[in-house]
Amino acid sequence: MNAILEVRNLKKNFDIPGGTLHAVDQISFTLAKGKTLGVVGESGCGKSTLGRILVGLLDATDGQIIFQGRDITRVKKAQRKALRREMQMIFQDPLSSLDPRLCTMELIAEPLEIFKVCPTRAELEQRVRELMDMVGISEHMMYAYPHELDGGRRQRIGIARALALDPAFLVCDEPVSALDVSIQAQVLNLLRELQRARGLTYLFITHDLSVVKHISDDILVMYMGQMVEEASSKELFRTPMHPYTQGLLSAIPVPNIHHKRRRVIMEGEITSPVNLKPGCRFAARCPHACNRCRQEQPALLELEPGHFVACHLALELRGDAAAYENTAQ
Amino acid sequence: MKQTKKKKRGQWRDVFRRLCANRVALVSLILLCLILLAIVFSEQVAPYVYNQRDLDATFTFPSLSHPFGTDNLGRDILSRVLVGGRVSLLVAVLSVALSAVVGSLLGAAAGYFGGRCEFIILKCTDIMMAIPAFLLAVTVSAALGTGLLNTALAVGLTNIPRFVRLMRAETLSVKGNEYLEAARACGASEVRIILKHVFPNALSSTIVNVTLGIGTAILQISGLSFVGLGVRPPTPEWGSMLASGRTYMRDFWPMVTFPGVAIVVTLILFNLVGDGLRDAMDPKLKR
Repeated sequence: MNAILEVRNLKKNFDIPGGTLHAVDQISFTLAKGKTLGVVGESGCGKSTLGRILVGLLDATDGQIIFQGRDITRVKKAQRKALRREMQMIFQDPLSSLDPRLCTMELIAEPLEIFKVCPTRAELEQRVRELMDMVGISEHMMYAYPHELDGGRRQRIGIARALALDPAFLVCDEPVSALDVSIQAQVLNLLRELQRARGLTYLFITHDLSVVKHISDDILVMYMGQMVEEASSKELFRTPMHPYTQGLLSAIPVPNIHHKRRRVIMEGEITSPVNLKPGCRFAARCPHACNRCRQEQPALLELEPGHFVACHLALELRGDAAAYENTAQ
Repeated sequence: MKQTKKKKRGQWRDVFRRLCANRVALVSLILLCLILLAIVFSEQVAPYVYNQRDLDATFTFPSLSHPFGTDNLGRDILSRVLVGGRVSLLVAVLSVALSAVVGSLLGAAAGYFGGRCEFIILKCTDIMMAIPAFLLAVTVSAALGTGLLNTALAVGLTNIPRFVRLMRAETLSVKGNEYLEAARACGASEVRIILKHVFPNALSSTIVNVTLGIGTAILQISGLSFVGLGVRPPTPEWGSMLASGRTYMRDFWPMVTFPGVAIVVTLILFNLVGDGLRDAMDPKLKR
């Protein structure tokens, strides 16, 4: 496997007045070139924090990030700037992530100006035109301001900005969750086409499982900063082993009223990620939780080739997973 | 969407185009320019030499030969208002420029960086604000001595805290926006982020404050001149002209009225232009 990104035991703690908040805890994965890893989890589970650490907007507390064979966990300013050419980010809300006082041209030109890619004004304009064409914004929008455009076009500007420097790796932080469903599909297709054409690697953060199924090769499920399950997209949707994943999958709406299935309903509140207690973090909401779950934190185990689960009961629940599979079809 | 079809548009050309579309602001701008021109070329425009005395014609009311009348020493008030505007406006603009530039930079730094930097800057401005503005101006002015630059410095220094506070608040509200993080992800340096993203987005209320500040500055300068610390009497200056006319206000109105009107009109024009400029700098605002 030709790994572009390898993350080992990544940790991020925030010191807050009440103690320490474990936003990201012991995340490890490997991402091959040209593939997409979907990161799924509910809001506040640390998935955005993970993305921000990877592109260097936040510093990791502990762990290692190896990008293209180099350890980039702690790099100097100049190196960080050089890395920006290789890894970029697409933000969730295109309206708030684009400066309202700049027009399309200026927004897309910004990374090019910073890295002085185009020596003359004419070349700069030419390059911006190419980028606009690539992401599908027509040329007469060149001098429009973000508030004059619709959400899909705004997000296309965000994508053009991210692609301006020809990066190899993109962190997409919920790039479609602020958009209408019809536009979501357009933007997702655009991202896939670009990936195919330019061999891009994506880390795709989302809370929407139907989106992640569409675009990811592998899926990583996070709960309160930890990995609970990782598997290939197909495998995860076929046999989810962790009760949390099962709950998430059973919550995907199916557009068929005759469809009967077993819902895994999660009850209770998310426990606080501040000053954690021992035991499985999901135990308070898990329908299968036993005493062991409340005392001992489960390790992430490879139960099947390429399928990692962190649950004491995963093996016993596998039968459940099979049952789930039957009802889901 | 009509705008988007236009070809090349620079940011500043755009601002100017929007300013021109605002009729009130445009008229105010033209009038202000006329006044400024008249004041700059006051020696050529003025009908008399400003300090030429004519003791045979003191306290004359407005007439054809003296449109604004003459003062207690028989000097032509129109000429004195024109020449006096030079000192008043120059000092006012200089002092406001000083306080706006220094204050905004400090405020932006305080808001953007936070932490210890913010603490130190804010405590310093708090100390300055604890001293009454006029007292501070008098102290600085007395220490530095009279004269144009020193007066501008004294008034400018006392107004810095207002700009620091305002800019810090605006910066804080801009700071929460994701586009700063997006710029950082593009590789933008902190300096670039502050100058290119934070400043333009936080500047609008500072612009209004600048135009209001010119008014306050003119008044403060006249106050300083009044207690004898600003500009010395032979040089005309709107504030000191008001002060000297005050004695005769009951019997002879032109001496206070015309410099007063000059101050009021200039201030209103500055404010209108400032309002227009603020609106023109916001691309979201549509008519």
